[in-house]
Order: sequence, then structure tokens, then C-alpha cells
Amino acid sequence: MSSNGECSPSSNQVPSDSEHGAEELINFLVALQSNLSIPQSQDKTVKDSVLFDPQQNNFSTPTVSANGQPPHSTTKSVRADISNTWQPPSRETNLQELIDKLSSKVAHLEHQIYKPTELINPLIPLITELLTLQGIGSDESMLKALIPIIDEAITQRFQQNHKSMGAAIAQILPEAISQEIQRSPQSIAHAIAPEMGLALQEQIRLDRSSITETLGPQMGEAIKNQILVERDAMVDALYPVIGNTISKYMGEVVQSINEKVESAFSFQGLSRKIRARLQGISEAELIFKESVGFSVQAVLLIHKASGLVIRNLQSSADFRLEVDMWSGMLTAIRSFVNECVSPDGEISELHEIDYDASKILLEVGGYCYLAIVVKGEPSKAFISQFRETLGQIILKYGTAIAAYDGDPAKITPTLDILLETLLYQKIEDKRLKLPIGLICLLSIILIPSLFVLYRSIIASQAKAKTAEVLDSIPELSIYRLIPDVQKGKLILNGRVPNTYFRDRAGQIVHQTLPQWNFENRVIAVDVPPDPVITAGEVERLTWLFNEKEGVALKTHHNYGTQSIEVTGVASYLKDLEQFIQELKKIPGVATVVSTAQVRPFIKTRFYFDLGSAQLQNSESSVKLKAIRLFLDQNPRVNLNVIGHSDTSGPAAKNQALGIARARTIQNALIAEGSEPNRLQISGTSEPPPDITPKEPLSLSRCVRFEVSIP
Amino acid sequence: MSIISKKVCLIGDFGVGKTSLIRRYIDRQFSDQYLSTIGVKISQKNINSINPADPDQKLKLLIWDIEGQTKFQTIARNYLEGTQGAIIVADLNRQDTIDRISEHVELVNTVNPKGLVLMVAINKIDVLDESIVEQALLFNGSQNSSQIVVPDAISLQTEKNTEKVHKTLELPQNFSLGSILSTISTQDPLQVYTTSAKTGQGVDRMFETLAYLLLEKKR
Repeated sequence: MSSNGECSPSSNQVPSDSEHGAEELINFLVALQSNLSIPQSQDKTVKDSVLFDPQQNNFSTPTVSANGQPPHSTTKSVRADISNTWQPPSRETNLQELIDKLSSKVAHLEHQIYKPTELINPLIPLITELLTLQGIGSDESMLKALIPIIDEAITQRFQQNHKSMGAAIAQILPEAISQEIQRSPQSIAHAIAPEMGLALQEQIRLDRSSITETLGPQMGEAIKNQILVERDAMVDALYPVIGNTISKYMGEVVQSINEKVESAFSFQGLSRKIRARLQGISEAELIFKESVGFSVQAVLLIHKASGLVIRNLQSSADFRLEVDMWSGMLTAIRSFVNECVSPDGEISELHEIDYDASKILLEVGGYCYLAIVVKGEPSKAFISQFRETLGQIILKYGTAIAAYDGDPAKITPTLDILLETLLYQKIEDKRLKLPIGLICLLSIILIPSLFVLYRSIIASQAKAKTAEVLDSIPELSIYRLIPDVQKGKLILNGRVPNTYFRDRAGQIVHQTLPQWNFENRVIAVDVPPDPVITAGEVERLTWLFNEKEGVALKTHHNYGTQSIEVTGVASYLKDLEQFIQELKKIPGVATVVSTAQVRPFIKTRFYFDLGSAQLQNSESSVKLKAIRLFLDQNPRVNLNVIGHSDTSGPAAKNQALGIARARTIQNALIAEGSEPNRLQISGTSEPPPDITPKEPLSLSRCVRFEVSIP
Repeated sequence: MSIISKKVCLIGDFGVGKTSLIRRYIDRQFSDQYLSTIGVKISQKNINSINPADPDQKLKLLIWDIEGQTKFQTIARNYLEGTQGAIIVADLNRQDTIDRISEHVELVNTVNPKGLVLMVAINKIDVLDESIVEQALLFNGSQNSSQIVVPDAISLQTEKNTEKVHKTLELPQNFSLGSILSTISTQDPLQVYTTSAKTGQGVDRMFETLAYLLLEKKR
């Protein structure tokens, strides 16, 4: 605590916190006050927030010259005053007097303390001075000391009269802010940023046009700077404005994806696959060759307003553009599009001009635009590179370009390097990039097709096996049974005449390929019976019945009416009826017509006299004629001609007689015209089987016939 | 040394001869046929060693011939952007085109507030010549009086020069140059040229002076 009014900067220690600083200041002020004359007459109503506790300040009151003069405003003069007025108390002074004086002073001080105005008013000019000095000495401590007080002071003052406060601050504010910005732009930005948005919003709401006018000219420059400092933040900030550009860009990307996908499944894509296989190179390479067909012929950087060429790079000597004319006309067309093409209030931009196989791509920046003459179809990667290049040009050379006056030398040649990267494309880079997307596409195509291929191989194996098995079964091999595979299911198609064959085929297939899910779609149809088979059956049945004794039947098969005509003879009616029944069972036989006769034997007998083999004339010719007629009517029948004799006389003689009698009849029949080989003769000494011994012997002397079917 | 390019615009009412002036200057040709310019036509002229002090310096003039029709005023403004020189062309024989010179000057000045080289060409002086020649022949019957010297370039700055110019050019009584001058307020002296695209009189001089001034301005 210094009480001598010295306030050199070195005498103050840096306080550890602001409260200490405040305390220090208060102490300092009190000490100072004690060194000053205090005018009683002044009674200004300046309120002050400086407070202090008088009880903490235990100091001896110096003699103050109460001359009513306001104190000088410099510390030097203050010190001079102090040295003039203040003297140590003399020894002669009465102690009591001193005490009285002191107490009156204390009372006076006390009074003044409760009326701080009187105390502070004279101090104001000094405080300013002190603050300056203090400020020079120790900015930080001073700052910290003042902060709490100033806050309150300002708050109160604002409540009291915010208009005048505003006016006072406004004058120094721009200067202060600009200095602060120079000193530490970052912290200012931090401090202002949160309030800025709100303030701007409010101001825009209140008066839109004034904001525009104020900010307009500086905006461009400010934004450009900001992009240099922090690009991403700016991108975010500008995003809504750039919406159009982005949507256009997105449109292009989507279109390119569509094209790629479409071409992958198109004929073109397919033929590319085949060509790749044939030429033994990767498909990626082919796609690359197809899509790379573009070359940059010229790169022009053009001043937007005047249309003058800033830079002009051309790929080859034989491609010579009249660049100045080009750029002039492009600029004119651009202006036209900007002004006349778009609807009111919107600005449309020219992006591309096509001519023949070439196109001019345009990308517009602030004061310049980039035009590229490209032959063929430029890749998406190139277009984005193109845009990026313009971005870099604007960032680095924007100011020089804005002030371009037609002299290319005024823009640094480093610009050319940027543009040259556009002119000479690095093809290798792209080659590495392309296959990634391509491999994905290819795998999308190839994996399912491999799977399908595998499935089809398995299926064809199963079909082959099925066909082989069915072919090895004779009764099924004649039918056309077609195995098929659908959705992992083995299906057997075809037609068989009946369900038996159908089930049999299904059974065989299932046994052969039990791992397959099998469906039997074979249809059992009623096939019209094969006439050849029917005929065969009829023939077989006829032969079978003719094996029987006494049966000599003939069948005639009529294919058209499916009818059988039965002729001939059978010994018994039972045999004939059975035959007809069997015939009707044969498939393909509808009707059976029978004209066959049931004739078991011939009853006609030739009788002979005793011991004679001579034919009796009386009736023989009629009988002979009847026998011959029978033979004619039944050509498949033979006759056994059997000679008998009576039981009288020796048996050997009788037998010879029997044979002789039979031969007589045979000869007679041959004489009538019958074939000799159809007549068998035999003789016996026995009487015929139907002649009993009781009947007359004459009945036994005869020749009878038996029908035999050879 | 690199070639410096400069953009120059020719503006003025339709049919005053902007295209003809350019054609005369670049192609050395003239045609009586009137073809209206649609939109803009750009021509280019290379000039070698315009400045004796710097003979290597080459200049390329890109001359924008802007449609004279007044229908597309807004687009004309765009074409004027970034121009470093402008020639406002009027027809000596059409007072209305001369009256509108000031409008054109204002237009150019609003589009390009920064100082640019501005010139006025009063074209078709050949027509004037003929009429005066005819008049002279009629009154004097002499060939000598037809030798009228029309100055190529006159710098007009003040109102009092008007009369002098008027006299020197021997313009008709009803032709008022005052209308050009009174409404134009530029610090630079306005260069007024009388030209004839048909005869070529004053054309080269005007363009060359313009080129020279453009280079001067650059320094």
C-alpha cells in the first residue's frame, strides 16, 4: 500500500485474479484521494459504482490544501501539489488538537464516502490519466482489474441512457474493431460469429435493401478470402445457392450410371464380351477403348465481361483456332443465354455447345470462364477435373483476372501449368480407375450365369440318364417319353396307351434318379388298336381253336368295319361259340359274323352184302355225290374212310374185307372227282362203335366216314 | 513480347454504317447493300508497331459490331461489358442519329464506369460532299470549289467550339452538333471524327488513333 501518491507502473504487482485487481485499484484510489484537495463546492450528480469499505483503510490523513481549485490533470503537477502542501506534523502540535483534527477529518471523509460523487468527481480526469499509465505498464492486470467494474458501469449506464451511450461508443467502435481485427482476426471471428447470424437475420427482416447495398461490394472479396482460409465451411454456407449446379451434376452422374448399366445388358455389351474373349484381352480394356475416344483440342481461359482471351492452349499445330474470334462469339452467346433464354429473374448458364463430333464445354467463374474444345465424348472424370481446375484458377488468380485489360503478360505464367494438365490428359490414371466399377458389373452378370450354366449341365445329365433308362425297357421304348427339367424338378412328358405303362415309366425314372424331385406328366391315352396286331390276334386264336379235334374254322378279318367273318366247321357247337366269344375279346374286333357249321361227322354209310366188297348200285351214286359235295364245301377237311365187317368168320379175313370195302368207296369217290389224298382208308373186323352186338349183322357190314382236319 | 488484345465496340442507331466502317477498316471494301446486323459480329485486326517508342508492341483489336436495332437494349448492354474502347457512330444526314449520340455515350458509361476510350464517328460524309459539290457546281460552275477539306479529327470540348466545328465541317444549317456536346459530361475530351466508309476517308485515322489511345491508357 503506497500512500505517497507515487503510481509508477513498477510499483504494482500483477494480481492473481480480477478481484485482487479491483481491490488494488480501490486501495490505490483511496490513497490517491488522500493526497488530493477535495473541492467542497462541486456537487455534480455523477454516480459511481466504485465502492470501498472505509474501515479497511486505516491511514493517516495528510494535510490537504483546501483551496477549492480542481486538481491538475497530470501526475507531475499532482506530485508538485503534494510536495507543497503536505508536511509532517510538528512536534509542538498538541496531541489533543491533532486528535480533534483527525476525528473531524475522518468524519468529513466518512461523509464523503457516503456521498461518493463528491469524492469521485475531482478524480475523474486523474483516473483517465492513471488508467493510461497503468495500461502502458501492465495491460493484462489492468484489464482484469477493470472488467468487473466496467461491466457494471456499462450496464447501469445503458439502463440510464442507452442512446447517448450508443452514440459515444459508435464513434470509436469501427476503429477499435478494425484494430482488433488486424491484431487477432481469429478471436474476433469467434466472438462475433454467434451474434452475427441473429443480427443479420434481424437486419434483413427490418431493411433488406440497405443490407444488400452495404455488404454487396465487399461480399465477393470476403467470400473469396474465406474460401482460401476455410474451404469446407464456405461450401456449406454456399450450398443452397449452388443447388442448381449440384443438381445438374447429380443428373449427369445418374445418367452415366444408367448408361453403363444399360450398355452392360445390351447387345453392345454382349458383343463386347465376345470380342474380348476372341481377342484375348480384358473387357475393361475394350470398354476403355470405346469410352476414351476423346481428346482435348484447345483450352481457352476467357475474360468473362470483355470476351478477351487470357490464356489459350491448343493441342496440335494443325488444329488452329481463331481464338479471339471464338472467345468473342462464345462470350456473346453466353451473354445472350444469360439474358434472353431464361425466364424472368433467373439466370441460365451456357454449359456446352456441340458441333460435329466435337463440343465446347464451358464452366463459368466470377470474372472468367473456361472453354474447352473436346473431340469425342469427354469422360465424367475429366469434366470434374475441368471444374476443379477453374476453381483453382479463381482462387489463385481471381484478382488478376478481374483486372485483366488485354495484356496476357500481367497474369503470372504459372497459370499455364494448371491449364496444361487439362490439355494433356493422363490416360493411365483412368485405366486404373475403370475396372472397379466394371468388375462389380461383370460379377453381377457372371455369377448368375455360371450358376445357370451349372444347373443346365446337371439338368441335361439327368435328362440323358432318364432317356437311356426308358429306352432300355422294351415295352416303353416304343413310346416317345421326353424328360425335362424345370426349376430343379425332373418332369417326364409323353403319351402311353394305358395307365400301366404310365406308372411303370414313372416308377423306373424315380428308381433311377431318386435324388430328383420327380413329376410324372405322362398321359395315358386310348390308342385305337393297331389293325395289324388285331389281325395277328385273330389269326393266333383261329390257329389255337383249329388245334382242337373236329374244328376246322376260317376267319376273315375286315379292317374297315372291324368285323370278323367266321366260316368252316366245328365238331361241337360249344367249340364254335367259345371261339366267337374269344374273337370278340380281341381289341379292334367289333363284330363277329359266323357262317360256320357245326358238323361233327358224316352219317352216310355204305352197306355191303355178306363177304362182298362190291358197291351196291341202288343208292350209291346219290351218296357218293353227297360226300363229294361235302368235300368241295369243306376243302380243309379230310375224310377217313373206314371199312367194317360183321363179327362172323375169321378176324383176319374180316379186316381185309373191311379194307377192301373202304378202298371200293375211296375209288368210287375218286371216280366222282374227289382228291385221293384227302381220303384215308382203314379197315377193321370190328363193327362200327355205335352198332351193338344185338343189332343185325348187316348193319356191321359197312363203310363209314370220319371227318379229320389235317 | 506478347500481343495485347483490346475489345472495342461500335454502337449507334441502325443503318449509320457501323458494319461498313469495320469492313472498310479491315477488308478495305465497301458495299452499298444494306444488311442489318443481327446480334453481334466480331472482327479482329492486328496492328503492328503503333507506338514509335515501342515498335515491338503488337496490338490486336477485337471489334464488336453490335446490332443497331433498339429492340434488344438489354442484350446490347451485356455486349458492351468489359470493352476498353467504344466508337459511337452516327449518320451525318440523319439528325436523329446524331441526337442520340448522347444516349449511347451514357449507356457505355453506365456499363463501364471506368475510363474507356470513347470516340464519336459521324459517318457518310461522302454524301455531304456530293451535295455540296453539286451545289458548288451549280452556283460557280467551277471545279475548284469542290475541294472541300474536311478535317479528320477535331477535339470538341466546349460549347464555343461548336460553331467553329460547324463552320469547319461546313455542315448544313439545320444540323446541330450542340446536341452532342451539351449532354455529354466526360472528363476526357471527346474525339469526334468525320468518316466515310464508302471512300475510306477518316476511317483508318480514327481506328489507329483509338488503338494508340488504348495503348496509351494502358501505361
